Amino acid sequence: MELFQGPTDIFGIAIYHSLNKKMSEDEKYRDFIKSLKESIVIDLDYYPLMIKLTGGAPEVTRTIENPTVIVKLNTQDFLNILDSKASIMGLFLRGKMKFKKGFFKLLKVYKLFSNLVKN
Amino acid sequence: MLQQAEERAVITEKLKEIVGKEWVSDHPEELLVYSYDMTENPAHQPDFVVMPKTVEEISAIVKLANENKIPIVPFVTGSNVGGLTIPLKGGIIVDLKRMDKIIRFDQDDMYVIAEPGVTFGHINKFLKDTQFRYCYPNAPPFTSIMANALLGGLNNLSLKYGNMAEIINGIEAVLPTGEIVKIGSCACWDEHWWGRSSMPDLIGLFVNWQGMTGIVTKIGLQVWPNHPFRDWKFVLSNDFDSTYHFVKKLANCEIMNDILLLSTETVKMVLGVPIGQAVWLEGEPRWATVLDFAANTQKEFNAKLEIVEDAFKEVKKVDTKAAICSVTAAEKMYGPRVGDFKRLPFTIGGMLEYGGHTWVGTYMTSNPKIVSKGVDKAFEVIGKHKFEKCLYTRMMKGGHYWAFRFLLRFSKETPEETERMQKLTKELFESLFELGAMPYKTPAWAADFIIKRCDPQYVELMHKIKKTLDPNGIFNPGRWGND
Repeated sequence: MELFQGPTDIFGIAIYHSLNKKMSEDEKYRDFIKSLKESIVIDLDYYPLMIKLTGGAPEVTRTIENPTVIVKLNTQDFLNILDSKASIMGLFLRGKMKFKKGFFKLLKVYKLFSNLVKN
Repeated sequence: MLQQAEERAVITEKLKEIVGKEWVSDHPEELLVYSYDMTENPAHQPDFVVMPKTVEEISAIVKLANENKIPIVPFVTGSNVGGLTIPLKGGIIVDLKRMDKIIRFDQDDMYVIAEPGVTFGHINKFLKDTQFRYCYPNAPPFTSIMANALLGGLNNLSLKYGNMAEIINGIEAVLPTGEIVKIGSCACWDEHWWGRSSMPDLIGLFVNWQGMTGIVTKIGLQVWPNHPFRDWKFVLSNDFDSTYHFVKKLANCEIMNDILLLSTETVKMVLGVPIGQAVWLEGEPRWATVLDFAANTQKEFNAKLEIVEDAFKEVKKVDTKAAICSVTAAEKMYGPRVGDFKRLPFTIGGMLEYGGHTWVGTYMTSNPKIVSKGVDKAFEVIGKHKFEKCLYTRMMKGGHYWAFRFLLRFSKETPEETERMQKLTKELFESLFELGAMPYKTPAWAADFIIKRCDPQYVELMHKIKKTLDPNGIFNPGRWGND
């Protein structure tokens, strides 16, 4: 039985799992994540969670402290990205993905998530 | 249990004469394995375990047991989560694993004839390169298809066809007095096992009787055509009533293979969240619905998808945060484990890893008010006993009834936790029974509760039948008031 690690909230598990899997498979992505020093809040309609990137292993938590980026997005749109029914840029341009903070870090966030949802 | 060592030795030798010495044991270390299962039900040691290969050997064992008034308990893997193969009065465990043949597959009438030791894994492999499929519970691949059918288990075609007992075409069985009998169309023609019509249907003498009426040695079970287009959807939601209404509506549309309605705790358990930590957290979606549908053509598939999406829009009007996605999206988020139910038979993650697993599994009315009340009551009871609220439900037979159950995992390391689970299952079962929920794979303690509350004429009839078939009362004694 593999040991369970990371958060136990339903969306935190998803983000944590996806991040770690992508980092283990894609060296460039891993280097990119390790280069980031951000606290990114994904503010879903269910609840917000934070991805803390500090150069080491990413931490995903429901505790929100000193975010550098806050992105508001509803769950259905998030799932639509994963289902390839929507794109991050498309949602952003249609106002369905909003930056409440850290707008100038848009490209970093785009790179973080667009690579994450790729097969 | 037999008290005299000499007496036991004589029986051991006679069993060896029937099946061969390598297939009999009275060694305590081997008997121990058969004395308990993964549930919270107390252990009881058998006196012997025997592994026959043929129906004639079974008949001889049964006759020996009758002569000596020794209890007999049929056994395949003991994975029934009701403690049903724990030998309450000791005796002989007849382990049927050696009888593991799929004897015939009739493609015209779509059935297989299987021996008791045929597992879900076996039949899946057997049908893999054909145009047919079997139906699978969320049970490990090493469990017996016959046992699950005779116990009326649920499966991933239950929405269409009901519980597994409803797809039995015929059986061959050894009666408690040793005679071999066939029931169904096979009683007239060995080459025809197509069904149970139109003679008086005696299959029911073996269904849900928990091995008290004989040993079934062959079973005819229906298989189904595969459809080339198949997909699964996940729905996350908060509001139970609108979610349930959505499930019932889709069931009534008669387009789905299967619909599961789960609590978030169940999803977390499947994802591997450790025991005790699969809890719902404030703000999370409360429910996850899994939809399984298939079609013969792309056009048909698209039409079904449209019906699903239209029905989902009704949920969204009430529950604005509800969301729907494909299983592909879910697997991207959570990894392949979340899609294990696509690959049944498969050991669903999180269930069996702590040694103890049980459930209060019931069939009940699909009336939305009663179901909703059942959920509230069950959550209250489980919360009180501090276990995880892993709800697992399924619409049955087009919406005619509802499978309502909880997956209860616990650690068997400490007696305290087992005792706590015993209290929970008792209180949970009694609460749900009051709402009209009937447990399947009924443990002995629950059966005792039921027979005190149901029609006494029914109980009398059951005992009469049991006494007629098993005059010495040797078959799985101690259950349903048959001591």
